[in-house]
Amino acid sequence: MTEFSAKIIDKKDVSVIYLAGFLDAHTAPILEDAFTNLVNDKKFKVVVNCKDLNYISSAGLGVFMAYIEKFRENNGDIKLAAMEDKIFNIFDLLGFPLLYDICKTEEEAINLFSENK
Amino acid sequence: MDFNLKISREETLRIKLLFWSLTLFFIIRIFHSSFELWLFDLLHELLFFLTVTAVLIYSLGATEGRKFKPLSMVVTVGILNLANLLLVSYAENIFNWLMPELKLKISESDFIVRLSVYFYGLLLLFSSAFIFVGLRYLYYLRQNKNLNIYFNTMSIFIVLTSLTTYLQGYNELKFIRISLATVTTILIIANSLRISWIAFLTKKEKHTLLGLSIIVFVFFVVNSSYLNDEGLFKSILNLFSPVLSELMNWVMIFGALYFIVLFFTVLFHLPTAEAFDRKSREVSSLQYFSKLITGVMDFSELTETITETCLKLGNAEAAWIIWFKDEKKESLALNNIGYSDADVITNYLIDEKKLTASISFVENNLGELSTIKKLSKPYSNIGILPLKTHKALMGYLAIAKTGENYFDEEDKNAISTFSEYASLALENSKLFKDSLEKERIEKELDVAREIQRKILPEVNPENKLLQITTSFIPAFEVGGDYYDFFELSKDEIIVVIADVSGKGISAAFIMAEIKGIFKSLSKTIKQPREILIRANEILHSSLDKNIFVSASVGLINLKDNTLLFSRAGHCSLIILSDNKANEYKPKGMGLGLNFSDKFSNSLEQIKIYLKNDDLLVFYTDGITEAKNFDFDDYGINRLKNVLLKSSNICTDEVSSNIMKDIHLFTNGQMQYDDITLVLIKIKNYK
Repeated sequence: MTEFSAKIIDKKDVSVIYLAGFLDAHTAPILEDAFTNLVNDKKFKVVVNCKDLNYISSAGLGVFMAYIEKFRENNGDIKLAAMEDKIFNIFDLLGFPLLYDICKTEEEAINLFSENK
Repeated sequence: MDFNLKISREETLRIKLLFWSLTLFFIIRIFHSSFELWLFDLLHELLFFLTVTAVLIYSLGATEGRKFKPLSMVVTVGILNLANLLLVSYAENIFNWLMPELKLKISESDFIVRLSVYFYGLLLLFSSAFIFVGLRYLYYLRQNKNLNIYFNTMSIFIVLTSLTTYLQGYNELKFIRISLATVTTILIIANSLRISWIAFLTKKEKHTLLGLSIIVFVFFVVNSSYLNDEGLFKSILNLFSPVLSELMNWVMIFGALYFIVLFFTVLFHLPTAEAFDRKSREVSSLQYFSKLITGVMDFSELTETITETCLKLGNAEAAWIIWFKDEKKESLALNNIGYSDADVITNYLIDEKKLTASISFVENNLGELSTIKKLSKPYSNIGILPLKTHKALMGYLAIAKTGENYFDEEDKNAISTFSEYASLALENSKLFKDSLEKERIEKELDVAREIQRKILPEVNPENKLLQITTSFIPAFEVGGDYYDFFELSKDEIIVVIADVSGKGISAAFIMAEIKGIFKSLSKTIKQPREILIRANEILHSSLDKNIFVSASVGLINLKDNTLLFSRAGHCSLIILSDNKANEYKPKGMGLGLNFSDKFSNSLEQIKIYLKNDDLLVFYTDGITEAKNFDFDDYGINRLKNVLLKSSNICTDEVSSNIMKDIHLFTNGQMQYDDITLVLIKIKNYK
């Protein structure tokens, strides 16, 4: 089983979280910590780059559910970007595209923040 | 009083003996020398010895079976000696003050004189008896050989020599007295060497004993010299019994010899006292610790004991553990040091890169740190020892000394050996905790599996128009899959399949709730979409933000051969019809993702017309996401392929084909999620 990591890089006023590896019940706390840190730093505009994400379980999806309200309440959002088809199908099956902006590229997602201003 | 009741039979006997002998002796003393009869004299002496024996027996009984500290016994002997000394040296003054005319009356021996002589003599008798018993106690202390014969021989010879007092005046028999006295002296000298108990004293106790022994020795010598002094005191004592002064004298000689030997032996023991002290401390701490390793498994108690033992072993000022926890270092089990001080030192050691995984004791000089950082004590030298298992470094043991104190080789060796034990004990404690935790989780999973087993239908519905096969393979961690059937009438049946996010007991509880919701909703609502919308509303209050449920609901109507189907974020429905595997995936998001109109707006319901032999395939993502060792998914296409190959066989066989194919694909890779498959074939030949 591959490890999981969530690295945060700030790009202007948007924070990008780069996910890599296997996001399941055991690794979900790592992503939770990343979101908590962003909330503490009052950075509410977040793009999650899923380019290197290999797998996501229901517990992994639950992390997004747990934090989305907090970010939207503070005029921010969690946008998802650059996921593989396999990963997108999981999000899609559950109806996530109806609730989240899921973009093809990271730039597209970052731009969405400025467009909505 | 309470303790009065506890007096044993032997003790009552001793007290009775003492009482009667004292009374009898008193009576005979009062009338003594009133009659000049030799028989009367003999009786007096016999009763005197009876009294001496009774007093000895009584005082022996008082010490028997009790434990005294050697030093407190020495002090007691000293105090008794002092009392004895006062009695002896002030005898003249006391009697002169009480009865100035005593000197004159002594030969007249009137009643008052006899009475005072009796009590005075008795006092001396008691004090010397207790001194003797005290000496005897010290004599037997820490002796593993049976010394009864030596001590008793000496006692007998003391008595025999004392008895020769009666022979005074017979010059031709003097040789008996001389020879007996010689033997007694030799025996006393031999017996004075029984002082092995001092080896077990600590250094401090030895220092105290050195002072005490010389003082007590002087007391004995002075006492003895007074006893040999001719004066009023001697005449009073002779009046009581000449043998007593002789007995006392021998006791004093024995005491004086014993204590002078004690003094010199302690003196010679002093230089090695410290080393001896340290060794015994090491042995006892290690013994205590090894007892702990096998007994206590509690982590915090163990760490406390480790630092405490370390403090003793290293003669150090403070000790604590630097423990690695989630890549952070924290100070644990602080012994004799405050948190802030320990943190300052720990951080200093980390900053200066002094924490290396070296195997042995590393000493670090803190330099000016304690003055710069204003530590509460002038910590100067820190010993660092790694705590590690064969696998990993768990942390460090830190021991601090203050001022000019350094760790010597002895300290280093003792602590290094100890740290290996400590590492082992800590690992044991950790393993024990882990296995407890594992056991707890397994128990919890057992409960979760049991709940799941009870929630899933025990038997499939019996309907002549349908052929139903269900397969359910739970994952080790209980995945939260759920399926159910609700028969509304002969012709209408609702099929539900769902997957709760998360695993274990929390997922199992939500499954139970979902079952209740669907069971009650299906009684009143005959539209799958409505059922799902209502279910989402009900779940609003009970689901955590990060938990959601995917579900599909189908209503099969056998009157008009239709299926009403709605999907809330669940896997697609496959219908095998005319050798084609059609996938149905109406829009809809999972339950619990959203509680606004977005949910109901997104949710579609489709109507599908069914033909005979059509096979409805409901499943969970445990099938499509089953993994092989390359981490590829089993996927929907493999499922469809198996279905296409099994058009004209019964559902049982289709199910077993699918399971076999999945098994072949995963090839032994672990099953991460529950696998659920519900197959329904239409057999509506009316």
